[in-house]
Amino acid sequence: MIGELHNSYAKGLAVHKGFNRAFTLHGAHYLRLLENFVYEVKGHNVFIEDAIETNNYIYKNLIMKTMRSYSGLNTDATPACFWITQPNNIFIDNHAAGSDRYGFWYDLQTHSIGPSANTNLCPENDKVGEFRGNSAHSMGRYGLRIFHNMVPREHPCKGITYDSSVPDDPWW
Amino acid sequence: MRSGLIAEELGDVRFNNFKVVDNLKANMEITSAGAFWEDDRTQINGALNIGASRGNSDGTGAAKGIVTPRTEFFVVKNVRFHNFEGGSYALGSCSHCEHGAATDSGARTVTFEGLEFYNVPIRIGYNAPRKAIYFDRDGSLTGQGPNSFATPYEKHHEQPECKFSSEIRKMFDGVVCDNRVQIRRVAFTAPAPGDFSGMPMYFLRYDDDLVGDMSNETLQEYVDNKSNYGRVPYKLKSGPSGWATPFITGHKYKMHWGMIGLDFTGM
Repeated sequence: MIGELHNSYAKGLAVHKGFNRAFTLHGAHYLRLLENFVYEVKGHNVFIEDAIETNNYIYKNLIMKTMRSYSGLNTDATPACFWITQPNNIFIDNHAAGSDRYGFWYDLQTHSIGPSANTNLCPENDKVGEFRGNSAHSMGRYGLRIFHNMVPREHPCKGITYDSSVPDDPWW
Repeated sequence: MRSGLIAEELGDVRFNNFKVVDNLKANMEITSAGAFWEDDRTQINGALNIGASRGNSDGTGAAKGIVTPRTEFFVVKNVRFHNFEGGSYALGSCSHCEHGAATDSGARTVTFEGLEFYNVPIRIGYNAPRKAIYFDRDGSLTGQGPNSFATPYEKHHEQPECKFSSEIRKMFDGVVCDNRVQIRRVAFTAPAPGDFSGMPMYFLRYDDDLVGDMSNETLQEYVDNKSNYGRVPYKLKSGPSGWATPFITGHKYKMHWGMIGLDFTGM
């Protein structure tokens, strides 16, 4: 719950055989998570907690053998190497190498949750930061899962409207 | 893995340059993409889609390369499909429609262009309810030239602008039609009287040049022969419940509910 972290990073760390997550981003913005290694950790391993976290830079991390947990959230029983509740974050060149369920799970929330709960924020309709160069293999189910919604728009908490006065991009 | 990519409800989201290989059920699957009411928004662009690679030790490749959504306005372009053999297909339709609680009655249109196929003997395997309409902008899917179509086989799709030989029906799991016609979704909803609810709807080709020269006796035999009809089952939970089906445009059809001779035009 620390806010903007322009000068902070976690780089080159190894986390192995943990019982509850590897990296939790909680109320954090602009944090850098660089070239870390995670092996055999339970629950979602890289965990964006409140769906309010934005502009975090997740780069070249290797997450191996993510395992289910029955002592966290319900969704930890179907864990992801990367659990992403807020789309406006940056994922580049990461590797998800084995999980009981998912590699990258965009589990976008209707509103931000937990201590950051705010019905004026609508992460499932927020813009997508960046997702490129990532790989996933050897999952129990899906490499990349988008569930339930990813419907980015100009005003995330408003409906999509059609504005014919903007011919280049009339959908708002 | 079960799937390389799976997505439930998408807006203007574009999957560019994905590489997917060796997944068990589908390399890529999109369930719903109807948030923006125009093409070239939600799309797959530039994928390499491999059913079974040599590195696949158990020899089982993806059942389908891309399972397309149960909504309109989805585009697939510039995709190379490799090695879909032995009961697997490059394309499948109507994601999750096989479930009894599926929300749509089918016959939705997906658009394609720039496809390439290598070692893919069967390009399409339609999922239930087997009504999808595939529009091919450049002929790279159907081989029938620009602005052609593919759709599952029904008897009333045996039109002169379409091909439906056994080879075609095997390769495309249905018919392919050139650009002299279009294939459009037509839905019949809110039937009255309600007696028709639950009945299948039947369609008979009834063009003037087909039936015009028939004697009354021959025409009656043609109408009475059940094998001449295409069949569209009633579908609950389809927005308004009713019947939806692909129609090949520019032709006349005779419609019945059930096989009991109720004539739409006489009602």
